Amino acid sequence: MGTVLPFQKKEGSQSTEAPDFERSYVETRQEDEKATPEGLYKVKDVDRVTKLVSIVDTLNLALENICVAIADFEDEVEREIQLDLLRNNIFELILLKKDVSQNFGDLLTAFHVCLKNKTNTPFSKIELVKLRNVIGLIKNNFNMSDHVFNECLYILDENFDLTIPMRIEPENG
Amino acid sequence: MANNTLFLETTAIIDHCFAAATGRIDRILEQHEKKLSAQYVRMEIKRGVLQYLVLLHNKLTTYTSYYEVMDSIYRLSATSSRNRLSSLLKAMAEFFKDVEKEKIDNLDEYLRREMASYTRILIRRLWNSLERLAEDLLNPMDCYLDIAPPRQAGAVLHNDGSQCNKSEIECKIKEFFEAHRKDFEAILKALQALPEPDPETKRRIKSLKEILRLLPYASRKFSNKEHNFKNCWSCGDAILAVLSPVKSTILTSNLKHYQPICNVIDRKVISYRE
Repeated sequence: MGTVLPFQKKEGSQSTEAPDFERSYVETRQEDEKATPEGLYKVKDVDRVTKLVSIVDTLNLALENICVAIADFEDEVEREIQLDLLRNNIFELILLKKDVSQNFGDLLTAFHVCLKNKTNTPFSKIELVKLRNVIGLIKNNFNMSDHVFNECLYILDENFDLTIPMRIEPENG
Repeated sequence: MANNTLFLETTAIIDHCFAAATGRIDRILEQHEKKLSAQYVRMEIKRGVLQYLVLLHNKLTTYTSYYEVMDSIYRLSATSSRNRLSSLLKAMAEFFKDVEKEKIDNLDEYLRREMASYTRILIRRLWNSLERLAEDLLNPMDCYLDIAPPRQAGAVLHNDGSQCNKSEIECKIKEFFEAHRKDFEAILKALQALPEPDPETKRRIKSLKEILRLLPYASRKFSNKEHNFKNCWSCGDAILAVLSPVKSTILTSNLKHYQPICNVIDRKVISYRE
């Protein structure tokens, strides 16, 4: 019997969850009426395509911002400007993540935790390099497998404190 | 080597993951050359804390408001696990609500989505933490060999087979007791000598007695496939203590129950609690 990875779907299980973006897009197209020549080139679900494009654009921006932050690491002000832009990119991605692959969304949440945790203390260069590596993996694995997810989570867990959201004291005690 | 071997018991694994004592546990881990744990610990996690996390996750993904989730958690029986769950929920809400609210259409939905994501991350970290913290998972009794993490089915998680009797494979817990009969008899004697045993210790004494009584008879079965499988759970602390290597150190938050057990079987026990 093969090992079942966390959150792996069992064969034949009935899923009621919104399927991941690309698969559902293909399925929607297959269910359409008879294809016409002009229909082959017509994009049916403009909102979803727009969303996908926005996500890719924002990921590219995030990667660019963190690369500049690493390159200008010694320039504190420039580095902080780039990191604030990166925080904004990740927040925008979180707002876009609904209906996209769950692993992708969960990893953005973990990434958000890492960034938010470091608002009071500066990042080290190594930490920024680790974040860049994770963004690179996310960008190249849009429909993220459990294997890639675990790899990214391991990098974040080894270099950042992912337990902060469990240790916040509520304002009212 | 054994006297520099650390055996991580269930509470240590859980508290490390839940940030209850991560720093202190890490410091103790650094002081030991070899770190071990057991498949039995994973079984205890699956039928215990993981059940609560799956419950919380599914409420977050199926209820329509954060307050509904909170109310339903408060309606659970007041146990330490319930308290941990409600503290976790409040802390997560406090963390994730600190965002640019003007960019969010529905803050409640955003919060529940982020908290569900974080709960899934927590479940994965907990599941993976055994391999991360321990070099080897001991399992001479073939405990729950086909154990699996929760699986996603739609918006919810299913923790199938949360109890080991759902396993396809029969364990060898009776053989384990036979092989370590003297240790278990010594533990039973020590527990019976305690002046004021608490309810958990009373249950442990009762189960140990029942298990030891059936050992001489080949026809009397004891495994995850038999009606008496829960006797194993009642003496989990004794099983883990006997399972740890002789002269090793057991790391736990539960000194009260481990100390009298370890005193009679040549194990050291330490706590990471201050």
